[in-house]
Amino acid sequence: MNNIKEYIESGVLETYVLGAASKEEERELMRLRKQYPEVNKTLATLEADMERIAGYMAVPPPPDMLTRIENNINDLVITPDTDIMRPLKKEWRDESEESKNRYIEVEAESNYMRLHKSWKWVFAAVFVLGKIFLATAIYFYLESRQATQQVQELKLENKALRHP
Amino acid sequence: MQDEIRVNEYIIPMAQNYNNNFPSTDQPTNLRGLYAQYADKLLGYLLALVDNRQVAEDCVVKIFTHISSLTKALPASSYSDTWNVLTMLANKEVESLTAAGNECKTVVNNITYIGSHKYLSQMNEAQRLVFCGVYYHRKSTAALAMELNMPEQQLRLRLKEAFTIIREVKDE
Repeated sequence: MNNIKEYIESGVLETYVLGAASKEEERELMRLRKQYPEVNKTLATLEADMERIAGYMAVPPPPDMLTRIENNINDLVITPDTDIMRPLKKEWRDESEESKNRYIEVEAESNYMRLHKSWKWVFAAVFVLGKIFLATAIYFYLESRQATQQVQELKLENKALRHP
Repeated sequence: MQDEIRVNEYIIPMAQNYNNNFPSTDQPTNLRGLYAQYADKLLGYLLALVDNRQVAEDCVVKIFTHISSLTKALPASSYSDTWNVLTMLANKEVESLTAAGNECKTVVNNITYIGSHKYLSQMNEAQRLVFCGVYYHRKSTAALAMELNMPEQQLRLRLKEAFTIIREVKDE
């Protein structure tokens, strides 16, 4: 950057503190602020300006607002985790703990039960085997009835032959 | 597209620029701290955009509740980083209010608000249009330049002038 003063005067720093700068501009600014103390100083001044503008507009919230927020949060999660500001804290957090917090635990008895999907093949096999067993049972029942009838007929024939 | 970055990936790109060397005030590390520092400012900001105080208060509650459920951390490197995320969430709330048929205000057209505003009342029309467009309505400089039919570089200069006025008013 040949002329850092020109860069500061371009309005890019104002655009940045308002969150309207492009990613390329942000990257360039991050690089330049390390290199040029005047960029850093100007950014600090703009930060103070931003605080002043926001502070000027401030309107005191009602006293119960924080309670409302906390109640809302408690309704959503059982184990509230309030480290919402520092990214570094996330790094050492246990993955299993994180996945646990993603769900809401509900203490209620359900009339339904959940099964693994593989059980559907077991149920299908039991159903098919049941049908085969039923068909076999019917077949042997009919066979047995027919055999009984034949025995009865043979007995009658035999009787007739003995006593003509 | 700058708008896409700011709306859809708002946490990520800002957090990527995380830098603790930023010369600014200490940022709060928990919900109560965040609330103590920003709730009143956020309510004031929303009241500039929404007519109804109850609606504005509900928006603040929704925003802070939403923040607590974010899986990504808020950028805590500077006041403006955190404030920009909060105002962006506020604008999303205002957008959904508008979509639901509620009447929301365009700050630059609100003569009463501007007349009573210590800083906005000192700006000329061009400076005010640019400042309100970016600060209150979270428009990107490129989109606003197109809307105002003004070169982007010129728009940024108006923005710079607006900040100079804010600083001068303080110094008076």
